[in-house]
Amino acid sequence: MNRSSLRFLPLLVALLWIGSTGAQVDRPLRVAITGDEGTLTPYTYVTGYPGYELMTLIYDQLFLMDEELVPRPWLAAGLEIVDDLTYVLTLREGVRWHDGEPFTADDVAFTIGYYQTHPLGRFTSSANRVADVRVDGELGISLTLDGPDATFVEAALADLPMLPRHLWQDVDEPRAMAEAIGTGPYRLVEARSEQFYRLEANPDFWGPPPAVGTIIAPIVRDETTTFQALLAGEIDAAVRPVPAGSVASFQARPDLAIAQGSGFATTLLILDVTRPGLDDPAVRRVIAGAIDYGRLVDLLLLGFGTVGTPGFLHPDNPFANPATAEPPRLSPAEARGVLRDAGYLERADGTFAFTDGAPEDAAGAAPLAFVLLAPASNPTRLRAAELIAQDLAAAGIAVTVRSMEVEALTQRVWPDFDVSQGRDYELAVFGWSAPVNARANLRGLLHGDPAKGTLNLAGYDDPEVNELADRAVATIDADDRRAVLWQLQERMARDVPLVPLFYQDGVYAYRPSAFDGWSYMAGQGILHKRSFLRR
Amino acid sequence: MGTPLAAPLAGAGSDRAAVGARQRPWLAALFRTRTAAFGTFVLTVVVATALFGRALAPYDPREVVARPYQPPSAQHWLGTNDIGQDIFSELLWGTRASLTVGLVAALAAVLVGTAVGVVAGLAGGWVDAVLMRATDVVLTLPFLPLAIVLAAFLGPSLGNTALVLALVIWARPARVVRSHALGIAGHAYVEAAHALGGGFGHVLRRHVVPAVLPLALSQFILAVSSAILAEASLAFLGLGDPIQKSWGSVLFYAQSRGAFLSGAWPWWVVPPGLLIALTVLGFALVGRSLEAVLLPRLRGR
Repeated sequence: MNRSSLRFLPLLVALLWIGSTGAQVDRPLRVAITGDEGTLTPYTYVTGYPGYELMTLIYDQLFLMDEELVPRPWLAAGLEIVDDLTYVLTLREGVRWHDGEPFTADDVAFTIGYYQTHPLGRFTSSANRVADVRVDGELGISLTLDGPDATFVEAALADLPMLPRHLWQDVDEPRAMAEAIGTGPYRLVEARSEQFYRLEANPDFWGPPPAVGTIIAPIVRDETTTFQALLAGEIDAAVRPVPAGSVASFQARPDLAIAQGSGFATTLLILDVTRPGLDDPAVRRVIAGAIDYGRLVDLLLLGFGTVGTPGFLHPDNPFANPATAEPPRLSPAEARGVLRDAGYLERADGTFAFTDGAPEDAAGAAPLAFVLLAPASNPTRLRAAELIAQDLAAAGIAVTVRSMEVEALTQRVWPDFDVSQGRDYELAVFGWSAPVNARANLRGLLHGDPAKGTLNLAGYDDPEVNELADRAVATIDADDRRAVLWQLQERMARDVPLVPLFYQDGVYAYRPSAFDGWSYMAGQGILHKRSFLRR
Repeated sequence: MGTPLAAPLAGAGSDRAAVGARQRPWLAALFRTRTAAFGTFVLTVVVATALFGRALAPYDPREVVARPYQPPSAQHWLGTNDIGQDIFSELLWGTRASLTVGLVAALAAVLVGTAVGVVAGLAGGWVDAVLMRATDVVLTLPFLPLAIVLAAFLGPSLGNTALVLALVIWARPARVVRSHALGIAGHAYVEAAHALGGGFGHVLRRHVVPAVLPLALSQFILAVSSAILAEASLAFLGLGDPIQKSWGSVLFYAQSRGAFLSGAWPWWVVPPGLLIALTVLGFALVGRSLEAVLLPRLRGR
């Protein structure tokens, strides 16, 4: 890394001397990121956002999402879907790796095989959909899937970063591979662990020319420090969303601009539906109905967000069912009525208890009470838990909030990120990142088979829903798929396997005098490859 | 030393004059100097707030009573926090939690420390060696990092915070008490008690424990101040119990929900900070004064 940074030093000096020449921004653009992202290879980056986006400035995918989340041809020039299982790709001509070697169909075949044999959660599960690869000359390749998959283009072709075969074929331990060589618009010239990354525009990039000559991404872990640095002019943009309480004061600054858009990252209340009480859909409906979603968005996000829909999908998601756009609401009196009708015993102090078929004696009955876990390091979710506990108390359900370290909480609700290991919680405030929502991954959230319902933290298992969820993945026709997903969302509204609370808007601040070409990727934010390419 | 103190203490409990003599230096210490009187005054106010603050608070600090991020006004003297709770009421309520954690942690630490100290001092030999090496280990560990690791490991709750603080605070009182107990064990009247057939337990109960009590008391007061400070530090770092209203948790939310960015720090950060500083100062002043009066040998140290 050191040698290559020296190699670019004269270039940098030259750029500084020349000054602004118009199209390309020559002054290094400083974008604060939130944490260390390893050596920025597909096996060492850490976070989905911004880590994946930063890494894919160096590595290219076969398809690239546009700002409206439609996959567009990228390294692949064309795609022919012969039948539900056969995808024939034609690659772009003249693409070269950063070290000058040509990019060919062999690299694609190698990449898919490498992700299959060297496990890495996000890429391995989508690469595993490919049952057979056939290379046809330098630029032709044909993929055969193990079953129909409506999300294959988005989840695999537009997601898998291509690896150079000539550098990776002898790498057994991918996490030790430090050299970040891709075909992308930027090259990594310097990576200082826990300090910063420096990327330089790739002069031989095959696509639209990079708009910024040098990107420096310093690691700033603390939110307050990040925005103090932005206000002081020490950085030009931050990937962290502006805290709701500060948006107004940022908007008033003449030297800063705000990019705002929807956020697909979902904050939700999850529940273990195998627990006594929570296994009763009536209780779950009361929980979902008693929460004042509007108050959460109003107080926690100061309005910069959207109320959660019972069908999980953000209202801007093309597959969202308009019939389930509104969360159900029950007044405290109505909620109590539902609990009484469902056979729970109302006690003198206003709380409810199980009857368990016992005589109507409230004294000895177990109370309808739950423990709600919230991550100690996430004040927004802690506050959400605090407010939810108040709402549920008014409906007669006693909730004790317990804060714990986020790692400990994850281990309780999702041990080793493997739902087949079960779960050890009652209620928890949790979050799913934007792709779960953007790809309408309802099967992952709902399917009772742990191999398919990989995100099913509720332990929910319903034969009809399983069947619908399978169809949602196997149905290729967009209209048919939408119809199935709509049905699933209606089932979710009725059955409450999870309680989406809100989607926080992305509000990002940047210094337009340094760079004004940012574009907002729907549901995600401003740091992504298309922001840095001239349009 | 000993004569002015140990003599009446040795006979404590049997005659009322001796009890009176034990209480008088207490009171004297609280108002001995102007600084001590100031410390006593601060502590009185803080304790009164802990006891009656909830009744005095204008609002229930758990209720959302106004818009978030309001500056101070006639309705909300210190403005409102990130979800519209009244900050002034939060501080009044939080006094009890902060003080309780400090007192419980210090009490546990001083009980353990005193027990270790007197046993080590009186028993001597390998018992002393083992106990003192354990004490040295705790003393040499850096205080706050150890507390941070323990707090992260045990999980956030007020009980755990008190436990963590007790675990890192007990060593200093143990050291101090042991050196005092060593001195007592060498006194002629203690040797006489031994000679007359008094066992280890008898000497401990009748002679050593009563003699180190004043020292334990001043150590306790000093431990409270460091425990309160440490509790606030842990809570500020998000390692306390953010669900409980305490001075530290008010600071935690102020920091993590943008008080420094939005300019709300003068009414959101400074007041709890001042409360913590004043309380710690109050305990320190009273503790020093008690030490000076009850243990004149230490005066001017």
